[in-house]
Amino acid sequence: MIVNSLYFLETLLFITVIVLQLMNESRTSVMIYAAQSFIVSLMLIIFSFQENSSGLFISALAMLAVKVVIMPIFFFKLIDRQKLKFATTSYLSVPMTLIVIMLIVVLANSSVFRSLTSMPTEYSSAIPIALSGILASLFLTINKRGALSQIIGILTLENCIVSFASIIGLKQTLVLELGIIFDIFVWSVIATVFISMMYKHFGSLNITQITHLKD
Amino acid sequence: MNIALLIIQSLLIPAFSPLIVGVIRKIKAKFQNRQGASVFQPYRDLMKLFNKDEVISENASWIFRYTPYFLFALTVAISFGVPTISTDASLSYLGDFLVFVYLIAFGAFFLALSGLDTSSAFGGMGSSREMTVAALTEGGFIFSLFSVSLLTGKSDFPNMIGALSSMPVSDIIAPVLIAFIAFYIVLLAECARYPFDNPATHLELTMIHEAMILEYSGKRLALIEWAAANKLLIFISLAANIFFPWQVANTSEVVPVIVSLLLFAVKVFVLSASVAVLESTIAKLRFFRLPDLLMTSLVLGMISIVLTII
Amino acid sequence: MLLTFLLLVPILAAISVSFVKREQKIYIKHIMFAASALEIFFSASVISQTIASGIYSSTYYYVDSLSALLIFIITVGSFSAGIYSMGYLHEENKKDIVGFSRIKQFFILLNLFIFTMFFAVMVSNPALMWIAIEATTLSTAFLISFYNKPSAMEAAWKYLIINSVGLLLGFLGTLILLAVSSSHLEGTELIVSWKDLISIGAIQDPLAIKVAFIFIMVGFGTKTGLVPMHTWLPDAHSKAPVPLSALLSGVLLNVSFFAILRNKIVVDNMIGSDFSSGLLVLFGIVSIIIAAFIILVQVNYKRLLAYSSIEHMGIIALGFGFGGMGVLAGLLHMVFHSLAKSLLFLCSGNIFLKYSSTKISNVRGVLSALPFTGILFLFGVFAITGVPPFGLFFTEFYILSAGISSYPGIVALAMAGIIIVFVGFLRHATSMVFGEVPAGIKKGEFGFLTTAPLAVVAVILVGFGLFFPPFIVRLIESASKLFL
Repeated sequence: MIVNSLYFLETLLFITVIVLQLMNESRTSVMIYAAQSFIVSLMLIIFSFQENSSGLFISALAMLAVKVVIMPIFFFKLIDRQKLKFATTSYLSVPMTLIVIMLIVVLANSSVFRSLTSMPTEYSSAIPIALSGILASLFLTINKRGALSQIIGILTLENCIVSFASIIGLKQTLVLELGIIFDIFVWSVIATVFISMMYKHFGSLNITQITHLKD
Repeated sequence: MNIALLIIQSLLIPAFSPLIVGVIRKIKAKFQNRQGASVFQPYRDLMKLFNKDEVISENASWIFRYTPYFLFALTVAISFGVPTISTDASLSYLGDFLVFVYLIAFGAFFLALSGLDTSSAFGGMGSSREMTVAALTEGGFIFSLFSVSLLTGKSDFPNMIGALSSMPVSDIIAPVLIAFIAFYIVLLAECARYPFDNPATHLELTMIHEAMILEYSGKRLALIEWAAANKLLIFISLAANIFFPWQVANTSEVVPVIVSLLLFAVKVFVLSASVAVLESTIAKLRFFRLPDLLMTSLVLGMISIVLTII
Repeated sequence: MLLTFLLLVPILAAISVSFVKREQKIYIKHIMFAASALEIFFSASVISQTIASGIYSSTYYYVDSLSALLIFIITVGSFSAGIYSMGYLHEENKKDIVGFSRIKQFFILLNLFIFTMFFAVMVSNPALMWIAIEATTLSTAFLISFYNKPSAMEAAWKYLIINSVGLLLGFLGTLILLAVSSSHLEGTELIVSWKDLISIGAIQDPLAIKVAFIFIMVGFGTKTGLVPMHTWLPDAHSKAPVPLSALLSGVLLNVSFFAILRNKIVVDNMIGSDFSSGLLVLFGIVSIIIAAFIILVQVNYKRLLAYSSIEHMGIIALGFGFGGMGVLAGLLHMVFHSLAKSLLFLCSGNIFLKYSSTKISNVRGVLSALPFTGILFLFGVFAITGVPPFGLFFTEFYILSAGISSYPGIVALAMAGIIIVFVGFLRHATSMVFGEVPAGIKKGEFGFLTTAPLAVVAVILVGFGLFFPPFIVRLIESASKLFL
């Protein structure tokens, strides 16, 4: 039962990554990111019951508070303040993006990563999906044009890595998890301040237009 | 195989499909803050149409005249292969997934021709749009069902459901979930629902399915509307039973059948409600954006196949 | 205990700077002087304790001679950059480029940055080390965009994004390593320490560890500036204010390389050293060659120094990849490169203050306009390009000779790269240092604070080159024993 629900949540996580690729509107992307963080905190809560570890439970609640509530509110304020509505398109067209995602899934399941996917843990059937999620979020960061999407891509990558870590059987400790959450929080604060600064100076977040460093 | 159960199960679909259409309309009405017509209104609409007189263009050929009967017969025939309650009591040769896909395509073909048949401009427009969508949908359609077929090693619905329900859940969750999403997109496309088509529109330039049947009246129109409702319920029951195959009875005994029937009703209701909620919340896509969505369905199907093979 | 004090000093300095008010800006100088003195005191104690008693390992700290070496590098670098930045910002304040609140922000963030670097080399758990290195990225991001110009902001954004992606990949590698190791460890320590990881012997499942090490190499290699993950480095290091560039190039690159080295020690115990050495050699030689060619065509002297950092990181990687004598030489190279690069950046700071331009073609006659800086700059250029009797010549020589038997072709390529760098660097440097001073440039140095740190670093650089102090020798010997 536990294994099934974990597998289910991991698949949902992967699907949110694909949806983020295809989403163009900023508000929806942030909401999908909030949903994704919710899924990851659910996974951690399930793990905490499995391992009977209260530390993990507390860190899952902290993750819930920071990533699902505080950070999306931050981003929404940023979007409203800067009026960034349809700020994101991708470099590749939709069919090409989808083909790349499919190739990523093939790669994650192939013999290249066989060593990882056949690790002897309890939940080893979910490892290929988690790995595809990681690679797909890497692709998400590269593929999207707007600066806000790059932030969401990096945060998604972090979510996928946390879920991957819990699946391969790492005994997470409280200190570690809290450190990581704090880290990510400060990162987002800095990144949002940067975005405001950049928007003020450059007038747009389309990073292909920011070419001052080319000489 | 219990013949009585076979007939009951198969006639379930034509009998209850107007009810499902009524339920969807009622939920949409509630979203729009109005009372809406009763859930049995589609039955009354069909009765009204059956009693009305018909007007047929002089330029129409036999295709125009016979398509409604053909379409309706097709949907009834398909429901003999769709195991709504018990996998024991449905015909496996009609339930083969490739046969299903191409019977549906057959119906779409004839409907498109009949749209062209009366030389009306709107009919031709609807037919060309319908053919575009149908051609692009076919990929996701086949791949989503193919992945389940690969997973279970069987190709017809009754056996697929039986085999899938006995496989360990953790192995199959990922491919089945992704294939379900692909199939759901196909459901919306084939049954002319949002975001592909608006079933309640009056503006001909926004129609796809409705445009093809503009010239029909009287009992032929009733048959076509009923066939469309049948198609919706067939797709919904397939989505409910193939991708969530647990507790579908595989015998003809009373208790499992009753349990399966109740569960089926719940699943169908949930899926219809989801279609209604989707129709009330998202906007219809512009026509040139539909290929992107259908491509997504295709790739999701392919991903599901990759996950199955590994 | 000493370690906690060492960590507390920069934090307290940061907090105290935040309380300084505009009228009392002299207090910033006091705080920075006091902080530097305390840091030197504490790190000297830590280093001597490590030499005396070997590895120190507790639940949160793990300090061996490698850490002690890095502590030395960090202390010297932060001391010189800290003192210099006071003079530098004072001059920029006089020219109205920066205001008081910006200066305050600079010192607060600078101290936080120093704290995170100390934390990274002392902490006992790989994941905590990752958090510390991520924190260095965060604390320097605002410092890079200090001048608020569009190019500075773009450089800082690129730095933030590329480093965060790279560090997340490194995190993935760390997690895989921890997961595979945890199945080989008995006991249920709360925080897995480097000590436990090193004690794991050979394992039967090498492939997963190899994948983990590749991710670690790519991830932390992004922060170290190895090609092809180096694209953020020239922009970030050239657009940042000069004292920060000195710290970034001279110290931070070494700290992130330290992260790779720690993981290399653990991985080599598990699967033998061939795999990691191969990877290091590959990344090293590619970095050297690419950096060498770009140095030839540089037009901006700060970018020139940044690319030179990439090249030297490549040389260090090559040294560790070759093994044996190369390890000793690599460790020594880290020390010397940090000293020389700090010296060069600080000199270039004075040059920028005088000439207000970062283009090489606009700078002429440094020797007449800034005699003290000019001489030290020339020393620094000779040092960095590997001219005897500076230490870098010996370390490069030992590194190349360590690899000549097993990888002759690569050694030949590396030598070609080093010679190309020598030619290019010298060409640019001589056009800057000699010649007529352009009209409108006043002659003369800026003041005590901008020249004293340069002198101190130069003395250490030359002094170490001529005769090694015994504590460095002991540290390097015991550090090299950690590697197979």
